[in-house]
Amino acid sequence: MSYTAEISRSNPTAFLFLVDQSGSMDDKMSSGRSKAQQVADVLNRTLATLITRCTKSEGTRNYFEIGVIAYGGNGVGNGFQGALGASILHPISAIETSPLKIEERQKKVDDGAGGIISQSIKFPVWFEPQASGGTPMCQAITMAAEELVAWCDSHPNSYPPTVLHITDGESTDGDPEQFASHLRQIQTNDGPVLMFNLHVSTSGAHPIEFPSSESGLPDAYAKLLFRMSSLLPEHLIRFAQEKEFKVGMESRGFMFNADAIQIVDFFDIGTRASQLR
Amino acid sequence: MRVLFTGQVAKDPCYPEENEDSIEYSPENRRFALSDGASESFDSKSWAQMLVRQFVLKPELSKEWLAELIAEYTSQFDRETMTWSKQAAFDRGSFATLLGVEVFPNHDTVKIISIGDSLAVLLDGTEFIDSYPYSGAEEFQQRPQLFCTDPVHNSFLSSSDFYSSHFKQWTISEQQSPTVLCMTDALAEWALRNAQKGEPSWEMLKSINDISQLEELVLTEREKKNMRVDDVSLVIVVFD
Repeated sequence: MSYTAEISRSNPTAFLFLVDQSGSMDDKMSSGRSKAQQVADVLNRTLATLITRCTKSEGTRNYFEIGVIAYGGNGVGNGFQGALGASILHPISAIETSPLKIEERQKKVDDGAGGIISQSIKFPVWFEPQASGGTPMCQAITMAAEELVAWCDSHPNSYPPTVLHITDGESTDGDPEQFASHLRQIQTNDGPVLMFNLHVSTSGAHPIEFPSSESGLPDAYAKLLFRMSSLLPEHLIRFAQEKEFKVGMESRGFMFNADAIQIVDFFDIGTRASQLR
Repeated sequence: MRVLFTGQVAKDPCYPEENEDSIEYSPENRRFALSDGASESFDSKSWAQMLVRQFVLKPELSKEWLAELIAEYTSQFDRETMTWSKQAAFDRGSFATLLGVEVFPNHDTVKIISIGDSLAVLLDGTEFIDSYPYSGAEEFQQRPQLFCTDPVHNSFLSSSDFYSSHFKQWTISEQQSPTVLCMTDALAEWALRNAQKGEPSWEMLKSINDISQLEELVLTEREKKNMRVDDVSLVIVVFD
């Protein structure tokens, strides 16, 4: 049975984010923030959450390896900068020690005695919003595939990598479907790579979450992203159901016209690999 | 009441010291407890230890009972000097189950309290009589309520149905040879699944009297992918 490997320090899993930084990502969402800002914010939060899940009192355990591939007007490259810029995938403890900056924010918390107090929290930032140029999606998926072939070869017994692809537009360097199909054929002994696609939008149209067929999707582009997406494994179906999404065995890891709230849910569900140990 | 066996097998043979289960018993108080610290927690090992130690000393659970423990847990750490990730993990909290057993010999009863998915099983000889809180292996797919060091997650303790939904009483005088087995979720799920398949393991579990037997069972069943890889704890108590 696929997607059942326990995740441990000797058998970590990988999350690879593919982030569209084309010019249209500068468009404003209903929140007043650009799509690029919204995605960067949620990506930073997601990285912090993944690190928090791996952190014990003695330090951060390397249950995950993380990478970001960004594509846009500057071509395709590493989404991380600084110490993390030398390679795509990094053990999560390396991500933990190398944010670009750490911001101080205030959070309201329960004081445990019926009151609310303000508490200072540290918010690390690894990823800054960028938006320019075209959408070289095929090149980005090719780079992801090259990384993950090598990763799966060196981690044959691991829970397979998950690719979370965030885009707002159509590919400008060809049809990405075949590239995505090849990416999803890369595998470990625990199953093939999972590819989940998130379409972010500034339109007011109703979002479509985890559809189970392409018949109800509004256009050819939505149908293409649907076909590029993996079926949700059983444990992610359960997790999505806990978040009250209507999902079944045929649901795919795809959201169309996602707004700010759906972006958060997409990242949260997509990074819930199986049990850590 | 005689504790025949207590034993633990860590989830990762390379890191036995990282076992996050905890067992405590007090023969003079006729109480014992088991707690399974959650993997995704800042320091669930010490939280699990505190829960079982507190239960065998003071078994009456209340908001104050838990607040006292949380204060003790929190006092171990200096949040302000932590790195950003430790601070975030500390704020997220530590989570653990609590399975507490108290024996009342005058009434021939055993009272069980259960928060989470650690399991108590009542046997008569080697025959299965009852289990609590779950009766089927499929129930382990649920996300269980756990005691947390962040009070926000413990509101269920104040709900009006807390006692009816977390307590169970067994009258052991109804059994000729009563035995209570307590175990954490991976072993419990495996044992209930075997029973559902008509291949009960109760006699074999009850016969364990040495840690090497438990280790052999757990490692063999993990290898065959019949048992999830997780910390395993087992307590066997008989009533002569």
